[in-house]
Amino acid sequence: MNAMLLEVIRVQWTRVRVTAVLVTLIVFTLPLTILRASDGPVTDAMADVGGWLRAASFVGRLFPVIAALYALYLGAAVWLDDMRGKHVYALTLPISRERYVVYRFLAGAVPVVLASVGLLLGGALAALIVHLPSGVHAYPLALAFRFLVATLVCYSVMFAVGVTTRRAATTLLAAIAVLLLSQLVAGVLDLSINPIGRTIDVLTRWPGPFAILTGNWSLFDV
Amino acid sequence: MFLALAVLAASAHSVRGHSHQLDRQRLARAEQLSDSLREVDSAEASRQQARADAGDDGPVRVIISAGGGSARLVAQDVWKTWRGFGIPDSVLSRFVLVEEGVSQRGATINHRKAIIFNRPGGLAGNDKRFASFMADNASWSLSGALLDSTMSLFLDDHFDPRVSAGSENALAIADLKQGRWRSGRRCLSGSAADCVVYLGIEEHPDARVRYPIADIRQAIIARAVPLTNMYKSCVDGDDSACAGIWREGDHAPSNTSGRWSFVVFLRERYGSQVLPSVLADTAASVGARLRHATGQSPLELAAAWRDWLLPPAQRWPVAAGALQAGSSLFIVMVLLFAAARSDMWLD
Repeated sequence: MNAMLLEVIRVQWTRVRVTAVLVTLIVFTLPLTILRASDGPVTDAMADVGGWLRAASFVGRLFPVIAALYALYLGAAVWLDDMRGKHVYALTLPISRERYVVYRFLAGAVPVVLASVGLLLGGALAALIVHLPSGVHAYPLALAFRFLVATLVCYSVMFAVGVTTRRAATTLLAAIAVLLLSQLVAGVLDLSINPIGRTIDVLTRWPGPFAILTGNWSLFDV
Repeated sequence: MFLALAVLAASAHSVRGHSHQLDRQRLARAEQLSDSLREVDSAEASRQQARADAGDDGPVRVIISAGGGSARLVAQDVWKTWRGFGIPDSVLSRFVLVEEGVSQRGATINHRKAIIFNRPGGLAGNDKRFASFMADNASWSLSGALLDSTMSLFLDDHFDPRVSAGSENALAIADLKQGRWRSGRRCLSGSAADCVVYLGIEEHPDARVRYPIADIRQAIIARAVPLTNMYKSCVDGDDSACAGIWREGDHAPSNTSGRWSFVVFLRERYGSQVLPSVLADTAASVGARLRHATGQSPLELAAAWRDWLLPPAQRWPVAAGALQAGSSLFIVMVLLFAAARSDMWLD
């Protein structure tokens, strides 16, 4: 692998490692907490499967939140050093800016992959421990993949925002301001429109870019 | 005009209590107007009766208000729906379906039993879509008449013949997941015997097995409403009070969707003749009727229902589909490309 890429990854990892390890541990542990929902022994053939399903559904709601917050953090952290140094370091490197951006992106994505692997291992361990009856299934791989893709999407947005031009940032802020203002006007005039709610719907429902964050995040389901 | 008359009539009523303070002439005028209002209502009702539209298709006869849709289309729809469940024409021809508020006197009933149904929420029209809404309501009311006491108890008084696996299974699974009753929890865990109890298809039902005291107590504690004395006694440890609350009525522990889902399963697995056979049977328990109709024991049926219910039920899969995953990764690539082409360094 490219030595410069490895160095960028190393530097980036040094910056985020505490949070990355913490998040990885959390997502590894969460699937195991589902098993505490059953009263009896988890290997019991007549264990409270419904309890696991309910707990899996509840815990599942935490994963998209973790994915979004983690991506927010990583997306902000990935450009922090460059911003502090006013990008002088990046400009002095003997590589094109495009390549540097890709290196930065990959460096920031490594902790995402690590957390997804942690979730996969935690989910697989939980699935191995329990005795699931016919018709009820564990989805550790599907859940970990969903987490990976969702975190990458959110991270990409933050990453792109971090490298955006002043004009683009201003445009984005202006769009948000217009949205807030239209919501305010709709409220004052008692109009039956909800611009913010509608925008969130468009973004989070298929084929919106954040549709991956919604949907089923249960480790155990039928 | 009606509103004005109604206001005046109401005022007549209110002034009656204080007549010693009011002008007698005014009171007489209000009462006169009140009488006029009653006459208008009566005349309108008569006209409505005269305009009743009777229509039939095959054995089904429907009477609805004239101008409120095509009775023949509604009858056609009802016939088709119940034929799908194997209900014989000879049974359907025992009834006449009459819209609420429409007189039956103008139509030929021929010893048929009148079943009253409601018009769906002020709708009107002559097309098939409207007829379909009317037929839904008519079929719903008719279902109550088709069920004897045993099946009425089993299906919660009515049965919607338009139910499908798609409409009921998700709700049935949600109830199983909720696990309010021991039988439901163990049914989900794979015990077919508990599925029998959960569905209420035992050959010899036992309310004590359906509703264990511990579950009743738990269910009462979970209710976020003020407790009556009986409920308090149950929570405080009086088992007979608990039994008195839940075991009366002898309903099955499953929700209605669970049992409707079971009926849909029976039709899919054993054909449309099962429901008429069960309805025509006079055995006291649902389990015995099912054994006669299908040749299978309730245990076998419940196990097969559970297997049928669970696998196809994941309506929202955990796995991101190829399209969703692909489009998400495409968004990632677009954003990365945009970031790589950014002119930020030139700012």
